[in-house]
Amino acid sequence: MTAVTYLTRHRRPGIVILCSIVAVLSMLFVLPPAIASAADSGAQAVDECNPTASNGCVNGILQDADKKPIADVTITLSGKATAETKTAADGKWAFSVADDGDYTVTIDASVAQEHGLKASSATVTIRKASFDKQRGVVRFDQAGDSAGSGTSGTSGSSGSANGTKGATGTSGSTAATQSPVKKDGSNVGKRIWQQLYSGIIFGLMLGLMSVGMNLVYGTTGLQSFSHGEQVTLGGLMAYVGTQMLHMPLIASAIFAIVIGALTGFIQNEIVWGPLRRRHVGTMQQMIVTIGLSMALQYTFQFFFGGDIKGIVKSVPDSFQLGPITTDMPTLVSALIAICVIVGVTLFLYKTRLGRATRAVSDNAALAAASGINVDQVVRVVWILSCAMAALSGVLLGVYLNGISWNTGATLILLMFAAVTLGGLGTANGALIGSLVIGIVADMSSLVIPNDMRYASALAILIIVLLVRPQGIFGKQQRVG
Amino acid sequence: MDIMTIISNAAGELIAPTTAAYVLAAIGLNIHFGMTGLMNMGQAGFMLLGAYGFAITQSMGCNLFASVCAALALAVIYALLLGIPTLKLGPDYLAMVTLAAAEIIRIIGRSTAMTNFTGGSAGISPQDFTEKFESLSPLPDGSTTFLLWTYSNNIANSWWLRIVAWVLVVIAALLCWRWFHSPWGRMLKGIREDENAIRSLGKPVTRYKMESLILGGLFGAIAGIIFVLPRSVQPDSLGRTVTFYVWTILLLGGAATILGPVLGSCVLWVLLTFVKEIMRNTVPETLISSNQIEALGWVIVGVALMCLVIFRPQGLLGDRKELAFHA
Repeated sequence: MTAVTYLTRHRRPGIVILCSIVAVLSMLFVLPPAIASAADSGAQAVDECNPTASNGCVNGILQDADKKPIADVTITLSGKATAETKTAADGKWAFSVADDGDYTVTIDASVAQEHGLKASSATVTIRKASFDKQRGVVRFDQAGDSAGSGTSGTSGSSGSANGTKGATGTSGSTAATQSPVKKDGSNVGKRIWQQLYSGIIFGLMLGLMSVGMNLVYGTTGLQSFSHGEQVTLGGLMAYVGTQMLHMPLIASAIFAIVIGALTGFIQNEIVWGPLRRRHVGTMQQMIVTIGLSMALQYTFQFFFGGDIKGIVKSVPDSFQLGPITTDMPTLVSALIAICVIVGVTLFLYKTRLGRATRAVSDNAALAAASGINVDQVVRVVWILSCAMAALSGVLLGVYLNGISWNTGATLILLMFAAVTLGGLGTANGALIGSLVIGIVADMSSLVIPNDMRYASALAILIIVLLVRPQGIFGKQQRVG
Repeated sequence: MDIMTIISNAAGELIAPTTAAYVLAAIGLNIHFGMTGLMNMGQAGFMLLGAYGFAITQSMGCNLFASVCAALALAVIYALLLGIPTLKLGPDYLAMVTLAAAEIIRIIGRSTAMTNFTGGSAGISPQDFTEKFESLSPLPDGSTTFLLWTYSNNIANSWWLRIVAWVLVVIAALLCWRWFHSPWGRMLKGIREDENAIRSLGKPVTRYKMESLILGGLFGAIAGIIFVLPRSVQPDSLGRTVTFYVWTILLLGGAATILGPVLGSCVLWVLLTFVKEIMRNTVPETLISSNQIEALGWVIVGVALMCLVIFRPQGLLGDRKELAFHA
């Protein structure tokens, strides 16, 4: 819990990043890597800018209050270097800068007033080495730092968004989690460490999801396809907490976990419990989870729309940890994940209820015969597993700077891969499996194209089934 | 928009090529699941492979027959690759492997590294692969109105494509009917009901399962071709959700029946279109946007799938005793 408190403290209003930028940014990253030539001139205007080891970017899209692009406005860059450019027809503008430091971007005050912008200048800090400060995105449509924390933004979804400057690198969607450190050749070693690190972090979060999923499988024999939606639910509820109800992050996280646990309880009571009592086969139940997953996923889309929702608006300061660039929330998230997983392991091995859970896992009929209340155990397992999924959704949302309606759905196969790799029905196996899957997925982007990296994780799933279908920790007799 | 337009739009789904494509995919899945009890969760993978096999060879300039053969060959290879490691294992393993493999195909297909080959996530546009198919049409150019519907004769979402698609459906249904009542089909049903009993008779169970997997996959590949002909080959339009749609269709119509897939597909699409059209026309845009209506359509399908499996697992036409849900 202290860890969560730390996260909250970290939401300093000073360093601000806007979630709406995230969408813009992730679009920018999709663009093919452009020529990075603007190395030695101090700063120059470019059409499109991609940060590399030798240059940073200051860029943005100039829009009026109604989000319409403003073309042909002169943008002046000052600070460490000076340059000037005009916005393109779609409002885009960019400077490529060579030196680290603070840059101020200015537009004519009359233009700002005419288009209903709240500021006419903004300052960003560029640090090339730090992967979330390589690029500074400037916005003029929100109140400046000096204007205090302007609430109730123009777009209802980003209520408490405030501030004029944002500098972010790793942004957004599950698809764009890569550090934008471009392939340089010179820092291959560094990239390996960085990818290993992000793989471990990802693996830990995956572990949080798949341990719960595996507990459900162990006790009920059900492969839940809707577990991914439980993750999404957690993230979205945290978003509701921080951005709609304006609660601090810690309270929102607890809110999300409580909601998650509640859904676990409710669905066990009204769906899975009755189905088990009617002796509906697990395969049949699995198809029910598919239906549930579809229904939930599109319910999320119905209410939250198709874009990425940022749980926290600030991008924290990153720092160097040996060869790795990281930031505090990431470390704290990892720590929480480890604590929870250790806690669940202790629960399974040291408490009465935990032993009962493992007994049900081994042989439900025998457990029932020896006086264990199987229904009670399954209920606890459902609640626990959904609460863990919700927590992982929150952590993932903080780590990836946002969560969208299908985040969980993209991860469900990786969870399956992790669970199968570790051994179906074994709690510890799921953790090890998740770490392996996370590391492989992130490390494989060193050798194969980045957008194929999940494929490598799924390939592992198939290879495991080929050579050791029971997984690393599984028991032989289950198979076949 | 008046009520007639809504009805004709909804009824248009009855003969749409996409509906036929789903029928073919569901027939393939019926061979897997209804006849043999294989939990194939990656029918979209077969479809996507078929679509790629067809479209890529077409854009390279092969003739139509060669392209279809290429699509079928890809499906066979894929089925072999999937089947060899998993058919000996439990049903949940096959489910996961097929699901993962279908996703792998989609991820690789949409990767930017494959842009030269598959067109990446933008896919292959129709003018690259539909020309030969359209020029094969015996129909005159122009468009024809039949009952409520007006479509072009040959271009894109055409009458020609409809005719071909539904003729294929009829052929597939007839073949299925033959197979279901052949000794081979009875063997598959035996495997579905009790694998060990069949094994005790000295039959090579895994080989039969493999044959079933390949055969159903071939239908999947053909379904993929029909699916992409009126649009473009986009990997994301043949993702996991398509597989789930196919499952819904099969379970709605009734697994292990000949006409189940046909009925399921027609009912699902007509009803879904009808409900969506009604909502589009009655609910004001300010209350629910058109994107949200799209999402609601999916919610309906998801809930329908849940309710079907829980309350009527045999579907509209099926026989409960024949239902092959073995854990």
